[in-house]
Parts: sequence; structure tokens; C-alpha cells
Amino acid sequence: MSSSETSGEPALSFSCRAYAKMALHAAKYPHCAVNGVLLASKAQIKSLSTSSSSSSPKMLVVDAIPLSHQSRGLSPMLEMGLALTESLAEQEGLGVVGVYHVNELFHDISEDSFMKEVGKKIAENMSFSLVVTVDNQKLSLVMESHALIVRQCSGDKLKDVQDIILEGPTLEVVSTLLQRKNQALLNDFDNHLDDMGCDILNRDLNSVILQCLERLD
Amino acid sequence: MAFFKAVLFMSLGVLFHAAYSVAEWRYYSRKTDQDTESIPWDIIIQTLAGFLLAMIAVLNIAGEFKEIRATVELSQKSWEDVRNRPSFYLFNHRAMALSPDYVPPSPSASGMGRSHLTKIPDKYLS
Amino acid sequence: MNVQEGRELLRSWREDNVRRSMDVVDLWDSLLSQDPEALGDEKWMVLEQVAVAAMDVQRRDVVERCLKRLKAEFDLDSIRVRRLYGMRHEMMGDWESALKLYDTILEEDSANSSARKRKIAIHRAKGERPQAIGELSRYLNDFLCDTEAWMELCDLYLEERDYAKAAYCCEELILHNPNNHIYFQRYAEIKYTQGGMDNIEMAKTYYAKTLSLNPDNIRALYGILLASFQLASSNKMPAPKKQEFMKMVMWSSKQIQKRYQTKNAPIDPSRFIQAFVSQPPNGQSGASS
Repeated sequence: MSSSETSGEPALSFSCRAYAKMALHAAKYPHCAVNGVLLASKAQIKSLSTSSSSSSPKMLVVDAIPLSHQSRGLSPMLEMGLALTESLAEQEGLGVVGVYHVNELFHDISEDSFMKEVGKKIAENMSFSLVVTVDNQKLSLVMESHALIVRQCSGDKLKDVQDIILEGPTLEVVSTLLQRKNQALLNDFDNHLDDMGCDILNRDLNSVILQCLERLD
Repeated sequence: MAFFKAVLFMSLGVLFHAAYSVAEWRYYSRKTDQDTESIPWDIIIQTLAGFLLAMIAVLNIAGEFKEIRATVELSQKSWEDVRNRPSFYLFNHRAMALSPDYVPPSPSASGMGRSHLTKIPDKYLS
Repeated sequence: MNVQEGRELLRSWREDNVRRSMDVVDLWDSLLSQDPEALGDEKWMVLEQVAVAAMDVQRRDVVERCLKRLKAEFDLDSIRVRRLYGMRHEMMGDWESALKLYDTILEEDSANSSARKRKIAIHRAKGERPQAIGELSRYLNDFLCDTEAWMELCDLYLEERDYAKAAYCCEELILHNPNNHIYFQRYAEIKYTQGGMDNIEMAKTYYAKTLSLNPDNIRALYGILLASFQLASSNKMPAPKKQEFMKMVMWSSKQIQKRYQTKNAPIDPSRFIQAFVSQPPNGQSGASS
């Protein structure tokens, strides 16, 4: 994972892989509401859990694991997906730091109440969690700005997080992947449940994203 | 398919020939007063062979059989396809954004106060 | 691929209710658009299918071409063609024109279910969920056996997080399709999400029924594992029942691991499954809304 392009100012950064997987998940199922979890390093999560929760989190969201496109509002498979992701992430030294969701309707940027509750449950184990809404209108084959609306969940409160940084040429990478229709390579937990041969960690797609990033960097 | 149609045609010919043979044999056995004898073995074998060939041909022409238990066919389906409701399809979803003609809103028009990638924080501007 | 194979593929997608709009449009562009006459009897159904798929991916050129051909053959006297023009208005976000068109269809044929359904879809597209629910409930009073409509209403209630009513809709689906494991699974998921020990126990029962209808349904196994674990963890459960539920947890976890081994899955869930088996009960009472 590359370090963020921050100048030392507290900032929430998203790695190219995390952002790409959120965008590709949204693109693979354009007519569905999709959601997934966000991962960051356990060490960063631990240090932030002990710091004051009033400041914006300074961390790098390393990866995104797509969970569902067909179980909106239903908890059993989401719980299973979360538990499985936590267990797999732990083996890589990562932990669940939040959730992302993309709404079904094009102009809808409201937070999903169900995902907000999932965010709250995650925040029970740390002092905060992230609830990211992906804005459909900002997605495109040639992306000009990031499409993320990030809210920090602490207890019952949701606070907007304004300072967001993306790693390197993330927007160019994601635009290239969308133009090449690489969203077909992505697997979410629902795909995995339909066919256990699907890799929920998307290791093949991760290599494709890395190759694209190296070429454009 | 053409092969099995040919087999079916041939088997119908065989059966017809067997029926004609039985009729001929019946005629001659009545004439020679040998009514009590059973049908000759070669005609029986020919009839059975014709029947078997016809059955094989028809089964192959008819195509794939459907499973009689409803659950077996349904177990091949997943929610992915069952959930689709063509009569209720919506079209104002993010496929709009993924079409080549789409132009996303410019970053300055967002008006949400979120920091843009290239925005240099004020404290670094002299 | 030749035209015959393309036609059969489109037919199978039509019959199986598959929503692969991008693939349909790609197939049209690469193969079928050159000579639609080669499609024979199925030409008009394919044109309709491609038109709807093109609306789904915002390919206005393909929509115009298909609708022009359909209009030339059937004229706007055909209700089915008019409905497609209504959907075209929806694709462009012109709700008023679409509604006007559907109203003219309903004036001509008040029992036309597809026009009514499109009006409900417009409510949903505009984010007017309560109105969509109201209209759909009135529609179902007239068309009680419409499985699609019950599924749509179930989804709308789930978006509203009204799990009791969503469960009722799912019950209707089960009554209409008592051999379909998917509806049983869906019902179990709704009941589990609704929360409370009774509902979770009901969820476990329905997951078990799903598994009996389709032994390959891994979601049912996961559901049994989760529901049994929640029930075994409950403080209000008497000890003999807790033991029974723990046995279900052990059984389902073994089954899940066996499935993963048989399918040579790229991930190994044994560690996270073990967490269910070895974790002491913590008294949590399910994922209520």
C-alpha cells in the first residue's frame, strides 16, 4: 500500500484499491443498491480508538470488501459477511473501520439508515467508524473528482468528514478500469454465496488495479 | 437430429414391414390350415427391434426432459434472476453515469464544501 | 457466434428473467442489428427486449431505432408499443409525459396491469415510496396473484424497514410458489432481521425448510448457523433447548466446512466458523431494526 499524499495535515485517505473496488462494485450492479466494508490497518485503528473522537480521523483506508447487492435491509448475510471479512482481514493485519454504500436512485445521496446502524455497531468496538456514501452523479468513465461523502459515526452522532485524499492517480486508474469494463472481475459476498469459487478478497482484481496504478504512476 | 429422424423413418418402415409380414403369414397359414402355430420368431424380433429403434429416435428428437420434481429445477435458480421484475424496472440509476455521453458535475459546482484533490490548504499559501 | 445462437441466447435470457442489459445491447451491436429480419418470428420480441435493455444502459440511439421499427409495424394503436414509448420518457426523466401516456392507455383499457405497474415504478423512481406502496396495495387488491407485484411490495417495505409487512408479502409469495426455496430463504432473512427470539426461531425453521428444498443453498446453512447461535446465546432459553441449538450450530458449521472443501473454495472460512463454535454465549438477542 502506498502512503497518502498528505502534507502532514490530519486527513482521511483512501487507497487506490479501496476506491477502485467501491466504484467497480457500483458499476457492476448499476441498477442495485450496493454496500460493503472498509478496512484499515489494525495499528492505525487502535491508535485512533484511544485518541479524541472529536477530531477527523487521520488514517488510510486500505481496502474495500464488497458485500451485497441483493440483500438490502436484511441482516443475516450481512452479519455473516462482516464476520467473515473481519476474520480474513485479521490475518492480513487489517480491521474493519467502516462501511460504504451506494444508493439505487441516481440523485439520492442520503445516508442509508440500515448501513448507519451497521456503522454504529462497528463503532461500538472502536471509538468511531466511517459511513461512506458513494455519490452516483460523480461516477463516470472520466472521473473528475472523488465521489465519496464520508461521515464519521461516534455513538449516535454522524459528522461530515471534509478532508479526504485519494492515493496518487486513483481517479485516472478507476476511469481506465471502468472504460475497460473491469467491473466484471469483481466478486462480492453475494456472488460468493451463489458460487463458492468466487474470491471475496478479489485478489485477481487487486493485481489488475496495481498494474494499472503502476502504469499510470 | 437429422440422423434420429432418419432412424425414426427407418423404424416405422421396419414396423410396417413386420405388420405386413404378419398379415401375409396369417393369410397363408389359414390357407394351409396351420392356424394354431404362433407368429414366427423372426417377425417377433423384427417388431421388437422396430419398436426399440422408434423409441430411441423419438426420445432423441423430443429434446431434454424436464425434471418431474419442481424443486430440482428451482434449485438451479438464484435470487439474482428471480428478483428481476421487468414490469417495474427503473431507469434512473447509475448506468446513466457510465454511459460515454455523460459529463459529471464539475468539482466547483458541488457546493458541499468537500475538499478537492488539488486544493492547497490556506495555511500553505503565502 | 451466429445469428441463430444469438437469438437462442436472447430467448433464454427472456425466459429466465435475466437482467443483463449491457450484454443484450452488445449482442445487438455486434451481431443482430445488421440484419434483424434474420430473427424470423422472434424479431418483434427481440426488438422489444433490446429496446428495454438499451433504456437500461441509456443507449438512446438503439432505443430510437428499435422503437421506430416497432412503431412502423404496429403503430401507436398497439398498447404494448405505447408502453415502450412511456418507458422511453421515463428513461429521459420526463415523468409527466410518461404518466400522460399511461393514463391514455388506462382510459382505453382500465384493466391494463402493465400501465398501472409503470405508474407505480414512476413513484418509486421519484423516491415517492409511500405513494408507490399505496398504489401497489390497491393494485394487489385487483390482481391478487401477481407474484412480481408482491415481490415489489416486499422490497418497498424492506426499504421502509417495515419488516412485519415485508414478511406478509413474502408469505404471499410462498403461498403462490410453495416449491421455490428462494422465497423460503427470503422469508427467513426477513424474520431474522425483524429480531426477537420467536422470529429468530421462525427464521431457523424456514432456513431448514429452504435447505430441504435445495440442499445446495449455502445461505440456508449460514442462516441456520447464525440463528441457532443467537438462540443458544439467549439468556431466556432453557438449558435443554440451548443444548439443542448448540448441536445445530455444530452440525451446520461442519456442513459449511464440508461444502467449502468439496468446492475447493479460494478462501478458508474455518477460522471464522470456529469462532461460532467455540465462542461462549453472550446473551445477544438478534439483529432487530
